[in-house]
Amino acid sequence: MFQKAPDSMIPDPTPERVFALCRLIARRSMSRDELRNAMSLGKASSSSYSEFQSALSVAAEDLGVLHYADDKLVLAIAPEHLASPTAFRRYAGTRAFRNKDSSFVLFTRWYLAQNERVFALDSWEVKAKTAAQEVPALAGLRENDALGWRFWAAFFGLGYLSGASLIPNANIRLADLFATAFPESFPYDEPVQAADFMPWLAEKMPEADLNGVWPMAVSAGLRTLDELGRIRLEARRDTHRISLFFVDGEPVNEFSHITVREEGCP
Amino acid sequence: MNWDRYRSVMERYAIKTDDMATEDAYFMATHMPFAQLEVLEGGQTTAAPDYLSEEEVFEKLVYNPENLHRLIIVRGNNGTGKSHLIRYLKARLENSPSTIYDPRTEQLIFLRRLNNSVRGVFSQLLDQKVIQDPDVEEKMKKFVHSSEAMGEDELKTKLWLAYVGTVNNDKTNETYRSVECRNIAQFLSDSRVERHLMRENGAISRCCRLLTTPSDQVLKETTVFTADDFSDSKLLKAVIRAGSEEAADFATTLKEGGEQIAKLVQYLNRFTRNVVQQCADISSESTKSVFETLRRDLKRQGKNLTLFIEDFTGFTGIDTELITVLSTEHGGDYADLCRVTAIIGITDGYYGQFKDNFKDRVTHQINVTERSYGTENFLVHMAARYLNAVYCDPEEIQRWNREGAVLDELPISDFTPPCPWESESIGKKEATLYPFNRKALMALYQSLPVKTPRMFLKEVIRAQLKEYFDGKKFGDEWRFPLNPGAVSMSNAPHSSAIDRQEQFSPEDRQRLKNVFALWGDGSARGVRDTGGTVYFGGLNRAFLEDIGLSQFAGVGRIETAGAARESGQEPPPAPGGARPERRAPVQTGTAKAPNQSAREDAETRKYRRLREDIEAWYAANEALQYTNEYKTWLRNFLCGSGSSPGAVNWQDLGVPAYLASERLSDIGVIYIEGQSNPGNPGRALITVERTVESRDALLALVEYDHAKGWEFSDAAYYQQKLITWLERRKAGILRSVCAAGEDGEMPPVYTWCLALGYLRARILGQPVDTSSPLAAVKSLFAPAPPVPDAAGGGSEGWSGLVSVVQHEQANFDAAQELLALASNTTMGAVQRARSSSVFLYHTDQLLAAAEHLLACNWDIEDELPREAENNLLFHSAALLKKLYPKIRQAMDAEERYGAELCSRLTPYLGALTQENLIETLSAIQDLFFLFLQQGIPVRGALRDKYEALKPEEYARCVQSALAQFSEVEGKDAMTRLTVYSEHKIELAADLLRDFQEIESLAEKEERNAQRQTDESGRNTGLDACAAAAQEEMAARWEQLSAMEVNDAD
Repeated sequence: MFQKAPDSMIPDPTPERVFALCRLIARRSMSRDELRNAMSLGKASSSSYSEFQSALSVAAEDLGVLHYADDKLVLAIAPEHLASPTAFRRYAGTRAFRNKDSSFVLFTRWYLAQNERVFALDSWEVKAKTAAQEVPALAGLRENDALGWRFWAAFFGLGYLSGASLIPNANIRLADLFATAFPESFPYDEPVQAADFMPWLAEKMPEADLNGVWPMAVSAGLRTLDELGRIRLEARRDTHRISLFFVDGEPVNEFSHITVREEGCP
Repeated sequence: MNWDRYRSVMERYAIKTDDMATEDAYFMATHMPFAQLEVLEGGQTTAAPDYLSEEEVFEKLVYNPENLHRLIIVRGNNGTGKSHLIRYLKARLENSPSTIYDPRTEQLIFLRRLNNSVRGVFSQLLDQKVIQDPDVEEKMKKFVHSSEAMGEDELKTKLWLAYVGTVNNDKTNETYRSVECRNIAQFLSDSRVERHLMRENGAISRCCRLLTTPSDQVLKETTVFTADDFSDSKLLKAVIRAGSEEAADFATTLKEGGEQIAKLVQYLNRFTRNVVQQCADISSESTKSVFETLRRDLKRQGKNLTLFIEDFTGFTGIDTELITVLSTEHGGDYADLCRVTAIIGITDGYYGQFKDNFKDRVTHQINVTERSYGTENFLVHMAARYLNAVYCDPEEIQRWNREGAVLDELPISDFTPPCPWESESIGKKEATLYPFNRKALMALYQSLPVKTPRMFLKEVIRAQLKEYFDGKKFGDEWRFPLNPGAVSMSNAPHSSAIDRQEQFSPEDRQRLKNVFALWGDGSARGVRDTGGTVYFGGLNRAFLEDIGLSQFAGVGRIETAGAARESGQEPPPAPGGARPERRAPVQTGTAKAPNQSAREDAETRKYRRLREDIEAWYAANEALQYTNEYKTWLRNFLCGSGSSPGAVNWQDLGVPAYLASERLSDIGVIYIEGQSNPGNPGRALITVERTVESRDALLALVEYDHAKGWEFSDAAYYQQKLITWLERRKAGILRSVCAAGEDGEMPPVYTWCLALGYLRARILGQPVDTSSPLAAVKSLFAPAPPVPDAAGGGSEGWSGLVSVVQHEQANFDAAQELLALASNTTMGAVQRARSSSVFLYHTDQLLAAAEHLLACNWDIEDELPREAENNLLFHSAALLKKLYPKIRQAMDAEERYGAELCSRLTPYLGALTQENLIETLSAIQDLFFLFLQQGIPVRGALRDKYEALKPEEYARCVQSALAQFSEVEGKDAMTRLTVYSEHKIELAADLLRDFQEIESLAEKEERNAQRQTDESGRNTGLDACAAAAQEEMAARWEQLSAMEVNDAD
């Protein structure tokens, strides 16, 4: 799922399955067969096997949550990363976007750059084909890959699935970054200049092109967090401002400072 | 600015919708030249018209230098300006130079509508000294005075008597025979009938009003008497019962209903004209003679007559005579009559009733239609003139009128708008349109239900100005501008953004939207021009400040004019004006076939209805009507539909897909505040409050449905609102769906379901592998075998427990299903949870539950919620709450059962030791052998059992069962359940039954033996054998008895 392109992004290893699998190993290390037996509760079937295998591959090889020790699968990360779905998502988010050449990141980058155009590409098949034509590294992308991509994209909080699209709104992805990485660089509850914020975010969110007008997903995500009171966007006079994706009727279409509220980052 | 003066001038002088009430000065100052008046020659309406201006009409028709006979009808619906035109033509004539109008050679008579009744008309004629004949003058004076002096009751009585008399004297036999006429007269004379006809809205009252009250309604003959006057069945019955014979006869006829009543009504209405004339004491000849005499007089004086009649409908009763005399052309046989130019105002409806021979006498028709006044130029100019008249000093207007009312010299007010503003040319000068602009005037005009100049003046100019002046004067509680047509801003996101501006009251937010919708370009876009002036929606900011909306700072960034142009936005238009905002139309793809177009129209209608429904729900607090649609769309948005997942990734957030799907399957769990269906807010899992945020979320769903996707203009805006709505409530929704507690933790549903599965298995005697948590889970996930018909053994208490399981089978199965489906992972849409063929479970959670249960020995009764909600999540807990007490009772019963078994075995075995058991079992085997030798029959199964039985082994089993049983005696119910469910105690029960059977058999054989012994005493050959057998049996019996005695010791 998160390997260098061309990499298959089949739908079967869903975030839920990967999470359930990792949680089981967190309880007790076991061999692969034991794990499969436990997860299927003895209802082994060929289809369950392939789903299991792909989920295990994501957990072990892509996300590095598990590894083998003496033929047994053991947890390779601190258990608190699996304490809750949110914790897992935040951990997985740090891994999934590391490989900027992965099909996942490349397709995500392409998708977010389309802004509203994605809605005119009215099926996942069309989206996949279009990306394959426009991004050389994604030349082999198929509908199945897009179908698999959407679950992880929604999981990481890049948008909301609706019909045959993911509505770009990265408020959850941003909130995760604000809760985890932000305090390493900036203080909570104090305005941060956009000029400083931008490079930080560009590094943490490699899937978003932050040159020029910010993409719709990031812009909408910031607006949502602003409306929810978790952050505050200001546009002060005579300061460098970042332009958000313009939405007619929205009061905030640019900002010069951002304040992240600590209480808004549980 | 003198707001009081403006308001006063407006109401007292300038804007009076009855033109006749307007002073001449203001009439002339505000007069709007009519253009495009439809002029037809002759009286028929089918001819092709010419279109003339009022000046052309005056030149060609009113100014009559050739002295041609003219009967000109001015037609048009109410409020179109007929009166105004007639008054203007009259004023135009009066103010004309003497070459055109010379009072010495032209008599000008003007009959107003104010006194639009027969009495009123005669009163005006008298006032204008038209009547020359002293006798006629005297009669008219008498009528006018008597009408004034006569009370209403007296006049009504006079009218009623006139009808009665006319009917009584009708000998024509045209409608009724004379005899019937007399009966009708008697009927009308009946006091009950009289009272009925004289009632407030009865026929006689209507006829009375015709004579005395000003009216602008067409009163046709047919409307004096109506069917209602004679269809009161109680009245008819009363007359039949108690009236005179003739009256009763006729009343009986009327009781047949319909046709008879219609015939009577038509008959009586024919007499109205005569009755009116009788009561006015003005005969038709008198009316005719008034005008004929007038014409002759004028002819003798060398004068001609120009007669203006504002409204002809008031002449009912004498209209025929008047038309006759006015349409008589002078010259020839009528050389003694002067030339008459008659200009008569008539509504279209009344003219339609004109008889054809009247229409033939009409020389010209002038038709005032919307074409004459409905153009933007006309309305804007009209507004400018009226505004100027309002703002001007009244003294200036009066002076201007006295000095000849020349248009180019019309005074222009010094009213100064707060910013550059639209104006309109009046003559050679410019008059401001403030506080209106062209767009607002046309938009307000278009939203009038009846589009006439009168309504425009009254409902647009006057109504809006009143609010403006009040606002300026008092400074608070502004209501300007009004928006009676509920015109919306074309830019819905801007409209929504205004609704979110908390610094404004709801009234001011509405005013802002009204301003932008009616005055502005439909948006609230902010642009700063190169001079620094800020415009919102194309309107100068100063205008907003002037009307109490100075706090408005736009809905987003204020662009500079250059940037606005670059971004495709147009720069601000001319001051005060606004160009309509261009909105990109929704791309609809390829052209559609006619059927599809028709469907689109229906869809568009539906779309508008839904939007209006939501807007009314939010803005006007009305009940939301189409709640099922909104709830379904909201549920589909959250959970997905078909194979498409929804916006909430439930499984990734820790909510089982199956749970989300089931809990939200019924849209009744969504409650919308103010929904038309009362619903049950208490059971709602999702509540939609009546807020601007929820309003926008619902609108987003409507837009999505209409566009069948997210490809439409403003989609980004609506998505933003919908997602923010969701995120603000998501935690609460998740908690509701999962029934999470204060700590956010889901109820331990897996624990409850596993416990139920375990208890069922134990109760039914099915094995459960509890060697490890995983083994237990797997064991309980295996399909449950069918419930047996009967208990596997045990006490009545146990049987009762089995019955409970049988009775609750459906609930047990439901718990099993919940466990299996909720704990399985699901890919994609939550609806797929039921049909997934992939089994990868949240085994970690199941193991945690199993571990807990094992640690508690499956007894979690104390952990069950005190009150279980009645929903899917808590059904298993409810069943557990029911089951645990029954299990306790059953275990107590089973314990008693076991104890009783043991006590009943003791007499047979003595101490329940292994040795005693072995010895007893061996003894039984020996006994059976003896029975066999002696040919004593033993039940086959019993014999076979003991034949095969190995006493040591069997004794060990029984002993073990008894030992297990006694080990758990007094322990907790679950521990006992585990042991008792194996029903090993039944070994002891079997043993007891065997002992009882054997005892019974032995006693029976002893009695037989005794009997045989007695009989065989006489047979020495048999005696020896019998005696030997008897001895042997006695020895065995003693042995058994000794064992009892020993043990008893």
